[in-house]
Amino acid sequence: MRRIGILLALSALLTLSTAAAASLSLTSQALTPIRNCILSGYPSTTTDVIDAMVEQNNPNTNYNNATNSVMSHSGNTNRRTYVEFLVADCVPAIPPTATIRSATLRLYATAVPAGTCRTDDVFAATSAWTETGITWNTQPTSNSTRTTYMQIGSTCTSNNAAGYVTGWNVTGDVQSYVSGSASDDGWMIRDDAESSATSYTATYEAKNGNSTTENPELIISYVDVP
Amino acid sequence: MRRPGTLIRMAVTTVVVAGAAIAVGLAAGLTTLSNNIGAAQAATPRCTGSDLSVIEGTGATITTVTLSSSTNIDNTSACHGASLAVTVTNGTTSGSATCTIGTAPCTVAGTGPYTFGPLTLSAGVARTAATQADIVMTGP
Repeated sequence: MRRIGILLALSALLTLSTAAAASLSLTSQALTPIRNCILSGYPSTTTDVIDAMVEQNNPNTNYNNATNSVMSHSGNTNRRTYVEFLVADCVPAIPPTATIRSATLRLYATAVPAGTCRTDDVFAATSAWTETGITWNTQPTSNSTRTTYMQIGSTCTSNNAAGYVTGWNVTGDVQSYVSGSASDDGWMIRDDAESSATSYTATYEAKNGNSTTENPELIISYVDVP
Repeated sequence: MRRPGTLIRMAVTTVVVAGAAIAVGLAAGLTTLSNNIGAAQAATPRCTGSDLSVIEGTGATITTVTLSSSTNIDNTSACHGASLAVTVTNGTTSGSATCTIGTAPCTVAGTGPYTFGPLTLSAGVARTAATQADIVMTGP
C-alpha cells in the first residue's frame, strides 16, 4: 500500500511539473527610448548656430554683431530675425531615417511689445545665407506659408513678459532637414502684420549675447526607428 | 523468489519513474522551435510619451533638466507609474537622473505643454553648443 501511495504522489508531482511547463508565460514591459539633440547658441563662438537681424530702414547694413535681435514694425521700420541651427551638427548625428517627434525653437524675449498682443511668425528660409553677409536687401528666400507662430505681448495670456517664448513648433521643418528633403537654411521670424501704423517692438536675445541663461535653442526629440 | 504481484509493482514503478524523468528532462530542455506561437493577440498598453523633450537648466553648467511633453502623460494610464531615466552628455561628461511618472519630481505642472521636474543630474555637464539627452521610459 505504501508503494502505491508513493506512486500516486510521484504521479501527482509529474502532473504538476507538466502543468507548470505548459503554463509558461512571458511578461515584458514597454521600453521607449527617446533621444534629444539640443543645439544652443552658447558659446557665441559656435558655428552650430547663426543668427542676425535685418532692418528695412538700413537695408544694406549687416547686424551680425548685435547682441539682441530687435523686431519692430511700423511704416518702413520693419525688422526681421534670421536664425539657423545646423541640425547636421548634432552629436551623435540624427539618422536620416529617424522620426522627429518634436522640434521646438526657443528664443529668449528680453522685451515684449507693450500694451498689445502681437503674432510673431516663423517661416522656413529656403536659400543659404551667412551671418556676416545678410542684410535686408540680401535676405534669403523663404516659404510663403509660415511654419508656425505664437503670440507675444504684455496683454497676451502667455509670452507676456521676459523669458523663453513658447509655441514655436518646427517639427515638420526639422524632419525635412534630417531626411534630406529640404536644405537646412533656418528660419525667418517676423511680425504677422508688418508695416503697422503703430510701432511695436519685441526683442530677442541673440547668440552674440553669449548668455548661458538666454541663449537661442533648438530642442529636437526623436526616435531612431519610425 | 519474489511474488508475481511484487514484480508487477516494481515494473510499474520503474515505468512511472522513467516517464517522470523523461518528462522532467523534456521540460528542462524546453526549446522553442515553432514559428507559430498562436493566433491570439494581446494589446500592450504603450505610453505615448515619445515626444518627450529635455529642457536643460540654465547656467554654464547644466545641473538640472525639465521634461516637456505635448500630452499629459501623468494622466494617461499607460504612462502613470512608468520609470524615466535621463542622461545628458556633452560628449565629454555626462549626468543622469531618474524618476517615476506621477511621483515627485515627475509630477505634471502646467496645462500644456506639460512639464515635469526639475530633475537634478548626478553630475553637472558643461554647456556646449550641442548636447545630447537620452530618455528611456520603462513600463509601467
